[in-house]
Amino acid sequence: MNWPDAIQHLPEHEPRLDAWDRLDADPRIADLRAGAALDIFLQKLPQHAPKADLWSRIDAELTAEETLDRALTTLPQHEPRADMWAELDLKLASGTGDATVRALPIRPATERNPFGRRMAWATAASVVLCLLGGYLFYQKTGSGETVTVAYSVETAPAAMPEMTADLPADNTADEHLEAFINQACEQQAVACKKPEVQDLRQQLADLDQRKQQINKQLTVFSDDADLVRAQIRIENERADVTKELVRILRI
Amino acid sequence: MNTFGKNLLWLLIPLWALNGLAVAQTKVQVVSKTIEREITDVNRLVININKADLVVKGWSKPGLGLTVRFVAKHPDRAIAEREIDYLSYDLRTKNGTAEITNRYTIPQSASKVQSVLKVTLELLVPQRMAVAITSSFGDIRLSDLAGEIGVKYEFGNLIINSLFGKTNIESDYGDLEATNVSGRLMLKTEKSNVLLRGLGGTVNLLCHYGKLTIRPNTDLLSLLIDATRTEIVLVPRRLDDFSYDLRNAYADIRVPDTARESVHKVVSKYIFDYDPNPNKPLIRIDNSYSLITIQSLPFGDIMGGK
Repeated sequence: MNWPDAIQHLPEHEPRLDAWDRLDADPRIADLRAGAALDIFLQKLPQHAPKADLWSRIDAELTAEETLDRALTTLPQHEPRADMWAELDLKLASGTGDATVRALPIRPATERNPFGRRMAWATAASVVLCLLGGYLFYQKTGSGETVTVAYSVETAPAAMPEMTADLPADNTADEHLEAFINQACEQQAVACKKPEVQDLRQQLADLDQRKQQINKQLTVFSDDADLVRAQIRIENERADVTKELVRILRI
Repeated sequence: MNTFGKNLLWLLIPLWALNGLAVAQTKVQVVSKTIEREITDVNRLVININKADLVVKGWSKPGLGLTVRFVAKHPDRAIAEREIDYLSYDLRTKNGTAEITNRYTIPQSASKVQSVLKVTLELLVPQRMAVAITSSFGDIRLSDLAGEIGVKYEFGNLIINSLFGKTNIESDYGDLEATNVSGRLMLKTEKSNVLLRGLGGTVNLLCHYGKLTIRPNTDLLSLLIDATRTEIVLVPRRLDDFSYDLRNAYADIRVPDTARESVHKVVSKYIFDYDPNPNKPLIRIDNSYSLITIQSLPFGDIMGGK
């Protein structure tokens, strides 16, 4: 059989009716189309070039920061004058601080007098005033939190912060102590190797480290009461340890 | 003047008085922010706080109630309002554990805080909940708890009332005042002043420096103290409620006159072995360089327990 006849004898095939739909639904075709679309969009994107001086500007900023950092380390340190306390004492003694504390007379609660009722009125009035003074905001947030913001006014004795802030740090005694310990340890090596001396020195080092940590926090939170209390505790502890150390090393 | 007139006068007087006071005193603007929320499906609580006061109290409900209070005080309200936003807290819940942390976020531009800032966290928790606390520079109050409690803190005071579970405390320079503690107590202190009142159960103390005052209850099962340079005062209701094994190197042991004969000195060590009745719970103390004192309670104070 030659080839024109053979063609006649070939079976005929029709594509299935839903062939186009199935091709359309094929995810690979969708990917190809999306890729083609992305290419087209990418070509349409506008082009931007950085300004010519960008690098030099970044460089200048970095250099400025570096210079500042370096300058910070060379800033002069200021200490309060050594006679600060003495001067304060003198001021207080001369009567500049004229605050006096007087005990209030105690009145038995059972005593019935019209003054008591008046006091009750006065108290009630004060409470009303306080209530008027403060006001509240309520807010319900999405995370199940109820947030309330309140404003009020408190009266505090004037000039308190100035009195407590910035205690003058007198480091001369500490320096003397360090010199004394070093000298004592050179002269009497045996005493210095006693376990109790070593223990005390270890404690002093620990206390110094804690003291520095607290002082660091105090620079941020100024005269925060909790921090000041901790500072007092450390200083007192240091004083005790120091005294004991000196007592042992002097013998 | 009629009664109403008189009363009105008394209402006006404090107004005038307050006005006068204001001249001599500074007005401080107080901004406070209170956040309340409930936490459920939690069986363990971890609290990490810094410069914040904490109250944890047991209650009979299954969930947790949290109240966070931020306060900023400054004469200028704008500053207080701005700086209260430096305060925040964080709550994370994972696998039944809730973790609460407080934060001070101070912007670089403000190197120093100008207001007085205060953070308080109050938690109401199921009594048997396990609670682990880490704290610096804050006061902690714990009460009515019976689960596994761990507290590690430095500075500040820890005040405990009615703890009946397994309690583990570590303190550096922090003071402790506990009333009614039983169950199991492990305490490790460094330079802390410790007062334990109404102490029962099984107790292990490890103290380095500081002061220790203990008023044991008769339901105390055992008390073991391993101390160094700690001033120890023991105040039993009656001396014969316990048996004693006390050792003190380089320092005396003082006991009531009736038991004075049981104190011996071996080389540099004082020893107090006193065993009025072998069935009595044991108090064992090992100390050095600091005095140990046993006092019987003054007669009038026996009922008070204070």
